[in-house]
Amino acid sequence: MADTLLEVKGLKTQFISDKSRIPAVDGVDFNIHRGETLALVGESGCGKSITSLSIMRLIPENGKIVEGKIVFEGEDLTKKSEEEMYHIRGNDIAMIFQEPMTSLNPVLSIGEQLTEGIILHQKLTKQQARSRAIEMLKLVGIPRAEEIMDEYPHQLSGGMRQRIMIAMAMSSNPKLLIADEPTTALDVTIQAQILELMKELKEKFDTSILLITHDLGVVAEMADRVVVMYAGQVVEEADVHTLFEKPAHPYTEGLMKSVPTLEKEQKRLYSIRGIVPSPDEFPKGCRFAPRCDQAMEECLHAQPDLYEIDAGHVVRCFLHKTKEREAKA
Amino acid sequence: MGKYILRRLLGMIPVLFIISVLLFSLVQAVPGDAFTQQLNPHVDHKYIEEMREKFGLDKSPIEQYFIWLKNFMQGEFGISFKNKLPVSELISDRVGNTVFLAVITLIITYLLAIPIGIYSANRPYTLMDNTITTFSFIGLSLPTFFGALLAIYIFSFNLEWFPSSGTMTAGAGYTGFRLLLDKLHHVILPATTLAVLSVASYTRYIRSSVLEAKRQDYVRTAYAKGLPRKVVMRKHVLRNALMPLITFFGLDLGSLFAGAVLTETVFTWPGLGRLIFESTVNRDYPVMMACYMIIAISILLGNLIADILYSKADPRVRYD
Repeated sequence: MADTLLEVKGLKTQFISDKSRIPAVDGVDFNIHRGETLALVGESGCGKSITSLSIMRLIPENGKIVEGKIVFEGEDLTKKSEEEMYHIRGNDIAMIFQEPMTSLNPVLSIGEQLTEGIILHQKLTKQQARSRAIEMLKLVGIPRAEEIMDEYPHQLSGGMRQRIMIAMAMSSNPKLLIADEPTTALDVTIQAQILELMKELKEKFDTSILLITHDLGVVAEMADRVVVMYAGQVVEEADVHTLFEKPAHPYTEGLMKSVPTLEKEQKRLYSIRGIVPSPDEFPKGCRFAPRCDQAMEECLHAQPDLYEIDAGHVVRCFLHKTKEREAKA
Repeated sequence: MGKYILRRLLGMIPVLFIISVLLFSLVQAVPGDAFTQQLNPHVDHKYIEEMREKFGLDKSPIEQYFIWLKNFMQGEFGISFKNKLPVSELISDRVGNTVFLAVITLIITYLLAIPIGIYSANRPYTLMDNTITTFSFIGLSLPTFFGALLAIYIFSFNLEWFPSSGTMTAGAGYTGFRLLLDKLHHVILPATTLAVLSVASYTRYIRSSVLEAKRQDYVRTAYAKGLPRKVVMRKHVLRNALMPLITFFGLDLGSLFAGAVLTETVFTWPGLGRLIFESTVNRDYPVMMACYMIIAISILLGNLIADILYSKADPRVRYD
């Protein structure tokens, strides 16, 4: 497990315009081991999608990685040329997206869209690529695979399209699969099937997964370790059991409490008050302080560092500053 | 598909009928007729009355309409009041010139607008893009007749690069390839003048269409597959962005026969547009009606062709 596949170090991605610099990702560190599923969790707008797009070097226009390293198999992706990235994208690192309804090109057949990547990366002929594509479609559980090859996205359901996206992503046997909210747009029964499929393929191909989600149910189902992001920063990192048993950051606790349960009778579902601050108006002190029930005086003035409170369990919160001292002492 | 086309063609009949009624009413609403203009005091009034009788202008408008309709359905377009020539002859003399001008205009338009639009979309809000935008708006706001006069003044009168009128050098007796070159030399100026107008609007349209296509999720998917930028642009962005142009193409097909009334008049280009102008001035209603009906039919057919082409290009659109 200790074999590191991807290491993100001090990553800062900003959106730069004439008037302003918006720090969407503001110093993020984490790593992914081979064969591991790491979940990146947080509310909308916390920077998790931009983090994943930074790894792919597919940040939208005006966005730029201004600092930090993304080391994949010993090589820094931030230093790669665009041409070098063509060989990494879709080949070593593949990605699937949230919206299966719009992620496929409406005017190209499924076969065309599946084979173009296969031909590109595996240097196969059209015929070979076609049989490889059909094989992948069968693998992701698509019935009538041969016929589907000649159909178009609008003829398929959302769940089917997401299976096709997965087939597309896995077809070149990537070492890392980035899944950006892969089940958010699907209904619950289909969600479970897609997650099951991803787990199966991960075992089969020994792929690492970076799973981006805001759904703690999905995290519990899939992840080995979890990184919680808030306002462009990592606020907590732990293995999945620790995180669910003893969440340390008030934000993580809040997220846990916001999940509806069947065991407790609840009149009203808990929600963290306020909203994620937008990146151009981050508070001066701890970024979560204005929404935190346990905020102290110092939280409003200074930013907490990441404190390691247990092996592999780090928290960005002053409440745990003392614990780290105790742990070290 | 065959059934669909047949249904559309049948559907055109009532549309054309309504159009013809409206056109005929409009033509009739203009005061006077083809002979009121001949106010030469030496012409005997009796003669004018005789002519009116001969051409059926003494009958009531409704009667006149049905006589026209009956003849039109039999392919008989009537006799021009002015030239006393069959309308079909007048039109067939002119239609070739108009189509030639229109086809060259379309080619110039597409050759300029598509690359400029894509170029603009790939560098949005840069100096070059803003310059193109500025010129587009100038092109859009310039009236055709003024543009035509300006073009004649600069390129025919001052620079003497192109002739200012006609479709070929009169009396030169060119044949074959030399004739084609001569015709092209004559068509460039009016065609470019017409093209500048449509280039302006096409460029704006293509620019925004490409910009929008570039933002689509499937384009991000294509990049995530590792496809090089050029391939993504060609296969995923442009294919989707340029598809709506088919609709424009259909409308352009319709206007192929409509001619450009003002441009043809300014360049004394003997096409349908000028025929429409002349016949309107002369209240020559058999000619007017025939020209307008040709325009109506070609626009309806152009739309149908656009719809058929669209269904070939976009798998989401299917007719049965």
